[in-house]
Amino acid sequence: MNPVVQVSGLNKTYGKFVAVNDVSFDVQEGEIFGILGPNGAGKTTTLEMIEGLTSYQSGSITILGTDLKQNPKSIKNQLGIQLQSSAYFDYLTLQEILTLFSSMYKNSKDPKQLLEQVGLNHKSKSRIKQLSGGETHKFTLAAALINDPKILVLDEPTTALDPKSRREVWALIQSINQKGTTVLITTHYMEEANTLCDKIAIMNHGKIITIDSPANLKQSLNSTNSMILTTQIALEQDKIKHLLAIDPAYEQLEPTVYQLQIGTQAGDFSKALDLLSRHNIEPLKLEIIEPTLEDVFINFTQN
Amino acid sequence: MTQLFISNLKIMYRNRQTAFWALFFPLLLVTVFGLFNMTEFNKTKIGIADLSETTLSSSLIQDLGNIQDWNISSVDITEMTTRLETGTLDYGISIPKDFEKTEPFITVQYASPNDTGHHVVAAAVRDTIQQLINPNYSLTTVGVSINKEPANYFDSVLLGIIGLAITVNSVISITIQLSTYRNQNILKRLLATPLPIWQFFFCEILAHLVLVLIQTTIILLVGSFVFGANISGNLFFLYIIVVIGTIVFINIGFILSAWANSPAAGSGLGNAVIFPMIFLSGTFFPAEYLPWPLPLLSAIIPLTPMLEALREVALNQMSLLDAWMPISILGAWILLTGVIATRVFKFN
Repeated sequence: MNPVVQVSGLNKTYGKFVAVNDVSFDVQEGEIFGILGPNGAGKTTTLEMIEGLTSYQSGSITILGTDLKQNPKSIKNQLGIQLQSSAYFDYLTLQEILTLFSSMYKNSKDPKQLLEQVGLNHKSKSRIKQLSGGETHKFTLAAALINDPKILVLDEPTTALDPKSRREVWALIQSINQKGTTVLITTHYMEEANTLCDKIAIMNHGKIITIDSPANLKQSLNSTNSMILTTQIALEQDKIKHLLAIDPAYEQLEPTVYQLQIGTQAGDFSKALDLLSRHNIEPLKLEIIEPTLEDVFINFTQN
Repeated sequence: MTQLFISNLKIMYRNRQTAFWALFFPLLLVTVFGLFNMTEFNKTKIGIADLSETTLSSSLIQDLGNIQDWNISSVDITEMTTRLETGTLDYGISIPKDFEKTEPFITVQYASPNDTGHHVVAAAVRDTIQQLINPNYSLTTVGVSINKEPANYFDSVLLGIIGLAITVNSVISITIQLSTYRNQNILKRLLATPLPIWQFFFCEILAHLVLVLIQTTIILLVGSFVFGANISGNLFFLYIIVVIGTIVFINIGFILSAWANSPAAGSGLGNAVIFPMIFLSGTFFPAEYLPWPLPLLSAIIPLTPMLEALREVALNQMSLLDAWMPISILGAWILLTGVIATRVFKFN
């Protein structure tokens, strides 16, 4: 693997407040790397240091093999940037804004093609004010792609979007990534991190707590799966005691709903089913619940 | 750079507020001042140079002061011509030494050779002296024209309106625009590109200068061709002063934008700075008429030397070299405001 972003021992303080504390991570070429954390965790500050917008007291940032402090201009030419909340010129049309931004970079893409890529070609003559929330986010993505960047840096790209628009933006980010662009993204949405990211760094209080793939993170939690069993009528006492064979600490959530732990080993689920059928316990509905990224996140950020 | 400059021009052209403050508002003022014949409302301004300095000459000045619609002031004989030229005096009367002992020549100076009112002034002076000494006292009054069309009040105000338009447009629109750009993270977004940020500011200033030159031209055209203003000086010099002055006010806009946290705050701050400046600098009436200590304040604000330079060049046909004093003060203002702007300006 070839790291395109290498962050090592990064520190940033504002007076006594430590915004970023000894942060290190590598982003590999072609992956979507997410920094997940609550508000105020230091995600945006970290990103802005990588973008060359904020200085840092110690540590180093190497992007595409170049040290950021050595040659910020060459790095800015290769980064596609979407800030957390950035507007564009009110009195220019979308196409004019992209044309203007294309003039600021060494390499640039055709504004018309970009608008088509994000599905806004019919809005090329519109102004930012005339766009919906989802369209605005798509446009800022287009603006971030104007220099045909090798690395796309997105700071909370779907904040304040409705679920439909959020999914459209995700699809767009995935399609950009599939064409070979490495993506570095911050988010506080679990679902977003889970759907998009190949690797997640969980960040809290300026520190990175852990870095891994979403699947490994969930597995690392070492918690069993839950099974929610719904029956037609409430189970009688003698049948209930058979549930103890599956989970001695089962819980009756409602008169006809029972929650049991069924382990994480292969075969645990069929053993449980077998036991239920042997004792004539007929499930009306069976639901298996895996540990979620949210569980992982809460586990890491609360400790 | 070209793309940035063109974009800046488009932004200004499409912003209706800029268009209003830059063009409509000054033209409204030109119309108001052009339609009213201000000179009709004024008293006749008479300057008296008393070379005799006797009790009798003092009584004479006092009696002349009692004439209705006359506004008498005491002037030095050396500045009489200049004051007639600039229109701050309508007539200049010289009372010679020993005027009560000999048969004196009393001169009544006036600007335009076409002036007819000097006969009335001379007759009134003769009459007052005879009443004071004796009815048969023999004296001669002589009318002397300095052969110059005096500056018209409207001409002077027209240049004041150019100054006002430049100040409003530069200070307010720059303050609002930059605080908007900062507020909406546009400046930050630009910093994230490889563009050297000075190029952005350079194009912003350049686009404003173009707007100001268009604005000045329109005000001059409407003032001259619709309302008959007489701008006799060198227009090239006038435009150079406009450019120099605009840079000072753009710098002030940059400074104010550092303190304006929002576009609304920018507008308030801009207005709070420019409107007192407009009234103190002699835009519509000479600052010397202001009560103490306002004339002192007038002397130290940058609009005053700009208007002075504009009027010297446009109305008194001076060259840039002749008007070196106000132009140097403007130069000093460019340096001072430039240094402060680069120190206080914030991107975030």
